[in-house]
Amino acid sequence: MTVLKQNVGILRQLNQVFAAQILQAPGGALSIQPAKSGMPTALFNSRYLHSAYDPVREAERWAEERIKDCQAGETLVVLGVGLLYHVQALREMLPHDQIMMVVVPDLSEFADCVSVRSLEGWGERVMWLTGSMTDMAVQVTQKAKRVRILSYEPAATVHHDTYEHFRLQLRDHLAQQLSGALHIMVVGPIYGGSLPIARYVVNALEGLGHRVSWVDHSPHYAGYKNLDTIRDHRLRLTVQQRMSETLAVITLAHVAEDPPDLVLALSQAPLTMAVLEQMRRKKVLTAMWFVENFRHLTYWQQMVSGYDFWFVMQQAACLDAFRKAGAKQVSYLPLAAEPDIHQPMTFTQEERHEFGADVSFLGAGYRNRRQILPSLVGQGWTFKLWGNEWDNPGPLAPVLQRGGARIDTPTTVKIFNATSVNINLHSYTGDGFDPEGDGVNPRTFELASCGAFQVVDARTLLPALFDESMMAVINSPDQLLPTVKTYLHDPARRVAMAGLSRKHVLEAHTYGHRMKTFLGAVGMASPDRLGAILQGDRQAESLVARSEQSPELIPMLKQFPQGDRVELVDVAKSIRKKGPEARLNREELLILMMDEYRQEKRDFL
Amino acid sequence: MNKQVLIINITRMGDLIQMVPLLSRLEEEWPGVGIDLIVDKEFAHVASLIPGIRQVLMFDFQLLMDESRVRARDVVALYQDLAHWVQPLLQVGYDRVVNLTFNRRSAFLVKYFGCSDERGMSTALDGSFVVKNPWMKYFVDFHVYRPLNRFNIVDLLALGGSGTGSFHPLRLDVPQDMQKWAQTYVRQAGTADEWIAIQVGASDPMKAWRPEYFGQMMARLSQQRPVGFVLIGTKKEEADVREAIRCYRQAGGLGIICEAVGQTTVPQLVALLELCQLMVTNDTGPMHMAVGVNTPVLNVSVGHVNFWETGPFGPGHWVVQPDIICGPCGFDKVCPHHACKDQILPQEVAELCLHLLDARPFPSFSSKVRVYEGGVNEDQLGTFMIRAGTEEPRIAWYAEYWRQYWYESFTCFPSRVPFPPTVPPDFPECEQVWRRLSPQLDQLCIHADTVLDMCRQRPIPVDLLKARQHQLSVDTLTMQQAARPSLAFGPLAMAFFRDTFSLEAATLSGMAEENVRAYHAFRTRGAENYTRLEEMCSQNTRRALYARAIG
Repeated sequence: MTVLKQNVGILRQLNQVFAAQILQAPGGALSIQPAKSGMPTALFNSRYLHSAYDPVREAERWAEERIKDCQAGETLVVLGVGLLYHVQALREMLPHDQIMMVVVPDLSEFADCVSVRSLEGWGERVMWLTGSMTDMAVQVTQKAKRVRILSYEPAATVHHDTYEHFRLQLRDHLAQQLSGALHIMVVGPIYGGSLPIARYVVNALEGLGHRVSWVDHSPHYAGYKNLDTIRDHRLRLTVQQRMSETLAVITLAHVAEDPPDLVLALSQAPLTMAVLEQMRRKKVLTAMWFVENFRHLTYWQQMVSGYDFWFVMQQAACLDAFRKAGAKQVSYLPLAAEPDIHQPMTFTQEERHEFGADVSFLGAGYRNRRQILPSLVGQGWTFKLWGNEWDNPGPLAPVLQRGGARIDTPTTVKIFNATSVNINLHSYTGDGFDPEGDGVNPRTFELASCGAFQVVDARTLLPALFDESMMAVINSPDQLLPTVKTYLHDPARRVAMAGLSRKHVLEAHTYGHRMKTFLGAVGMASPDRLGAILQGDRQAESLVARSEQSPELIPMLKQFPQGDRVELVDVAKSIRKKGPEARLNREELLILMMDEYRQEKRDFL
Repeated sequence: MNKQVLIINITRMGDLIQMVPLLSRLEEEWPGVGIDLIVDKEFAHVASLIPGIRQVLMFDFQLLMDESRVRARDVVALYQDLAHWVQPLLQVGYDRVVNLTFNRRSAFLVKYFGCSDERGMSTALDGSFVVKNPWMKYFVDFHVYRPLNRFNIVDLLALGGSGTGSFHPLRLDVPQDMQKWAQTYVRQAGTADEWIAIQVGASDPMKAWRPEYFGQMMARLSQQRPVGFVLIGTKKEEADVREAIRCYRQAGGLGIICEAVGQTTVPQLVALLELCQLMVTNDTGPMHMAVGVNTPVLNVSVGHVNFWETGPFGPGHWVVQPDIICGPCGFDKVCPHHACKDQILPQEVAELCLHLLDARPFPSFSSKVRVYEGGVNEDQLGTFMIRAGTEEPRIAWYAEYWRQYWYESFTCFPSRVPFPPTVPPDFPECEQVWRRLSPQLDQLCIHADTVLDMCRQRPIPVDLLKARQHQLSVDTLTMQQAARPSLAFGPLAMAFFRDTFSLEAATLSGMAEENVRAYHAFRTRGAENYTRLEEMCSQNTRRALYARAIG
């Protein structure tokens, strides 16, 4: 019997359809050659997927490294097929009852593999996933709670985009299943655009049932701003730096007082590398949502190794840049809107007079805006320009509102709602539209959330977020004027498009959605810790189930209601409640001892 | 069968070395005793240098702390790790568990063993904290009357963990290969007639003499004698060491410098210290190491350090202490001036070094410092004798008085240390305090007895009991406020306080009984103490009359 026939027999036992598909697959994706050791090795597009010398040994080393992180109860999902040496090695090292799945993105590649490599003795204990990425993600989440993804890079690279898609699908499916609550500490900036986002993030996480501690540094703004009285530039920078360092230490003190499961910092949060390194030493997990254009603000390069998880609002080049700089985990997480804040509203006569206009732009005076927006002046419609950093506005002077003062969020909502055509030009320090423009700004989501109509400049990531039935998208500055004219005279269309955009925000682009995605991603990247908590593994019944080896714990754990997250502190509290007449047993003494260790704080700072 | 003792000493390098005489004392008490030591994984290498330990039982307590705080692992996993490590130790059946880690975490571990002879911090049946053994109780709060303490921690650990006995010095084993390593290491830096170890840094900057003074002292010394310096310390202390070297060069230092900062393992460091003829140091772990390998130590004692507690133990070692009103300051003190450090002059320390190297007679010192020489007293305990400077007479008198009092009270043996035939420096004041205190104590004892009676009644008259207890607390506070400022009665009030906060009974009436014992003990001790002071006075008066009578 040939190897292929034998393997198909094995696969048939597991999945008849899959076995039939393998027999029909054309094959020829891989080029098979003998390695120096005599075992077959494979090439794809002239690149070796396994060692040309000893693929078995290479696979064993790979598996030995990976297995160190694997925990009991996790389902391991392997990305990368090749000749499956790595899968065999890992399967043989794992306990018999640990579930292992392999994502098979290309049947031809798999057919090539099973023509030369026998699955006998180990392939029966692997779940082979096929079908669409969504189907595979569903298969995983139906069978597994705690998932650890292991990527065999030489073979996984061949299907990089497919596997990325699979990861995203899996993340979103896992996010739907989250039942456990985390304690998340959100660290905001002293001031700036990410400050309101920090507030929205706090609300969203609380709305999802998590405990949130917000380290709000905005009360320090007055002191920080007061440093402007130091006229010497270098002195001022030095003092500002010292102040930021102090705020970082203050954050660390908050972490020490009430350690969270995860620290989530927003861009510009005053956290220094020294403090981040200290957090890592103390096993605090950290994430950063970098809601900035990575090309314009580059301080992330110095901070990249400081955070465990990075989330960015740009894709492709941005993700590559972060990975090359050393980010361990980096994921795309676009911005969103907070519909409780950015919502449709009605106006008094005075408000309509103050905030209403045919055309408005709200934003800072970047170079491209100074260049493009004057074309909207003197066109026979009312045009209002709102926002700060518009010194020397030139032809825009007559339309600049409030003397170029900073506009707060409630006013922003009024302006968006009271304007017929809102202009949304992404900032750029050059002329015209940013040729590399990819990430979508918060204003896009906020206008949509208000049910306000907008004309927005094209961004490569925009079509995946909104379609052109929801907003008018222009590809060049010279399209601005005709587009405004067209829509200004078609109120019914404007209203319909804006309505669709709001509906779509509510369905897919709130901070609540983002935080679900965020938690799915961190859970997937940390299956034994955040993932486990999010999947409910710290709930009383799960802990009881894991107490087989220490049955003395079970009575203590059974006191807690099912579904409650139970931690050391809770068990210790329940022991202390017994009062002065109690006779503590040995396990209770150990719990109290551990709880005393838990309460130590001094070594954090 | 030989006795078996478990010592819990988890957290610090210095503490581990300071317990060495306890091991010898236990061997003296129970020949052939098997001693096991529980220590944090980080300090296991230090424990390996300590002679007399049967088994070093290490656990990664730091990891437990880190993982439990951030909930990196669930309660089941954390528990199973700890239980898996500790459960087998129950089989040993220890005859005594000595807890030298004075914190609440270790108290639970002590109780876990369920040993009938516990020393140090443990817990009562309900998990509340208790301290077992009078010496260990003294250890917990002697800092309240800190200037009056004359017991080195080394002795407190040995007395508390075992009992009285002969004097045993600190002692460390230096592996032979490390001795060879140390010789090669210093030879690479150059040759010197004598090597002086210098520890510029300290775990807390408060207790470190200024680096520039170390540099100037070294320069002065090197100009008088062909010595070389071995600079030791941790990586964190590198900046201070650099500063010391800079000042050394600037002040015209001539000797060779062998830089070993952050470059040695603990066994290597111990070997380097053994090779040196002298060590000049702040109060640090390596200071105790040097003492453990018989290298004379000159300890610069500044900031919140009190050398009576943690100074170099035994004969052959010296201490220089600034004579400053605010020193030694409190542990939680944030000091804006560190003026104590400026009172110790580098040239004077250099001169003392020369004396210790047998090169010079004992030098003279400015009035701003006190110089002490370490020794052993007649009770076989470590002590210090003042060689330069002066002590505040009232403090010095009471310190010696209480040393003797506690020794006799805790051991039930008379102290063999001769007590100076002088009267209490403030006897009239003592009399006044006692006249106020005595009736208060009588009344408190009656109240405490009443509370006990109520606790024994069935049903307990809860409301009445609460009211009585409240009144008792208020009156106790008033009494303590009267007693505490007095050097003659304050330490007894502290001992009373310690007794009432270390109740082991598990029932209400049991606790009330312990309370009653504490009140009565305070009254008895107070009366005895007053009589003793009075007798000292009258003896002295008789002696004076006799002296006058015989002309």
